[in-house]
Amino acid sequence: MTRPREPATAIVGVGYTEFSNDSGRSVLELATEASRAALADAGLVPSDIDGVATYSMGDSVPAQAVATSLDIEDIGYLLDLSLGGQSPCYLVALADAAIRAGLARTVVIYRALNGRSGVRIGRARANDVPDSVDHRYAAGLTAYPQNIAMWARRYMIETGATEDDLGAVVLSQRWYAERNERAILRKPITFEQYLASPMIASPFRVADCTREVDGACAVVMTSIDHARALRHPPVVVRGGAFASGPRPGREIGDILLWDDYSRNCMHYVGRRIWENSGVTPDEVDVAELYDCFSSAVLFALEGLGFVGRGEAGAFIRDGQTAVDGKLPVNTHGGLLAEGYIHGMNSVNEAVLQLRGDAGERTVKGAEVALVSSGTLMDGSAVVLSKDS
Amino acid sequence: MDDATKIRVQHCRDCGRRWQTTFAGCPYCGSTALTEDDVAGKGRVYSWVEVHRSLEDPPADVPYTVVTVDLDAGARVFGRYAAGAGPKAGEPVAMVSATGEDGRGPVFAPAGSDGA
Repeated sequence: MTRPREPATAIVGVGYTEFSNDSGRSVLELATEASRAALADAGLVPSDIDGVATYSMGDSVPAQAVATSLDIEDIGYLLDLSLGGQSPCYLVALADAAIRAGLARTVVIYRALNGRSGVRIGRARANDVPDSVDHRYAAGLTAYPQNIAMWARRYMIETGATEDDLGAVVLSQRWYAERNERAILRKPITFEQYLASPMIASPFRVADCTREVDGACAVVMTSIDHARALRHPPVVVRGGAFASGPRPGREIGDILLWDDYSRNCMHYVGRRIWENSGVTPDEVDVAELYDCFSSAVLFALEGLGFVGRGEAGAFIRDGQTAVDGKLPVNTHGGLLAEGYIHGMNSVNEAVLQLRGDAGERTVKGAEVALVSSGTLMDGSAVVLSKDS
Repeated sequence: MDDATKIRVQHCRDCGRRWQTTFAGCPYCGSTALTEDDVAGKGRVYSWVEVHRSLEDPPADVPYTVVTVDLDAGARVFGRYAAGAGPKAGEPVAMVSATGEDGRGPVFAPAGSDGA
């Protein structure tokens, strides 16, 4: 990979719709509202942007539809990734590359879905590649919670992790969600209540699974020079990485060729992100780690090198991911509690943290944030920081 | 051994590796000298999931256990675990039928147990 370069781009605005159980609105309306909100937050108007990017699992609207709804006249960059949770940081890295390359000047990245009232990811089947999915479905491995649970179980076998460690993730994140007006799950939870949460696909209880919602969020990216003239302090993109381990298979759920279910894409992203960003794990003040399921946080903490093998659970139970801990993690409550905007909301949250705009859950003095995306074979990450 | 206890996999004639999902080249060496084998459904449990809530429509009967099995022949496959008690990591298992009463499978049971 390339060596770290001088940062060239920054995130200058974030936007949200309300997160709800039933938006009563089209996905295009949600996408456009979040994009407009991100532009307004940046002090920009649609004619200031020339790029739109998004990702979808067949549950959203393409970038061209949002570009049209925003009435963007001069379009230089439209990108639709047909990928899942590995996408948000990848799209930030790609927009950084596109702006550096002169393909675009200012780019909106959004994720929009009626994830509760419409297509629910928890019930969704993976891409229909008959060769690949038939044997999986034949055995009854038909939904994401079951697929990821297969990894979580192997991790527990190899490291000795237990439900105490999964529960610690849930409890740690719920504290933040209580202090996040957008979060869909804001009630505190005790470990006893966690244990009483109904089992879905062991070791996952309902509380270990992302909370599906309707909603959208978006960010605006532009060059650092442009960013410095705008209303918020720039949140600088220090570096990004996408990585897959060997043999990622036929489609997103085809895990049979993956050698080691106790390590996921983050093991490979971790080999690239620090080199690409020129930052070390010790320098990160806050991490927003992709968490469609609780186990994903344990995998990411270890894969990215924040803690050693098998140490993630103890690290969390020791309070180190709390707001005053060594590495506050998922300060919005994560996808577990803020809601499933498919990890795009984790990018937004990192921006709020570095701007000091996260209210009671703001990590004091945070200068550097890491965001990760994905928990299967391929994934991505970005390092963001305050402008120096 | 009859066909009801065999699993079809892809086989690389160059490096000898086997796997289940069909590819256009060997995932381990890139060779296109690929063939199909029916291999014995014997192996060891690598991981497992107990499904307590079906997310299918219509819902499947629960609970059930899906195992990831590393076959002695080399391929990793999924199957149903037939025994009542939960599987153990590394436990030897053998395929007892292509499908169970609910039509799901292949069905594995602890090696040496009844029917295996």
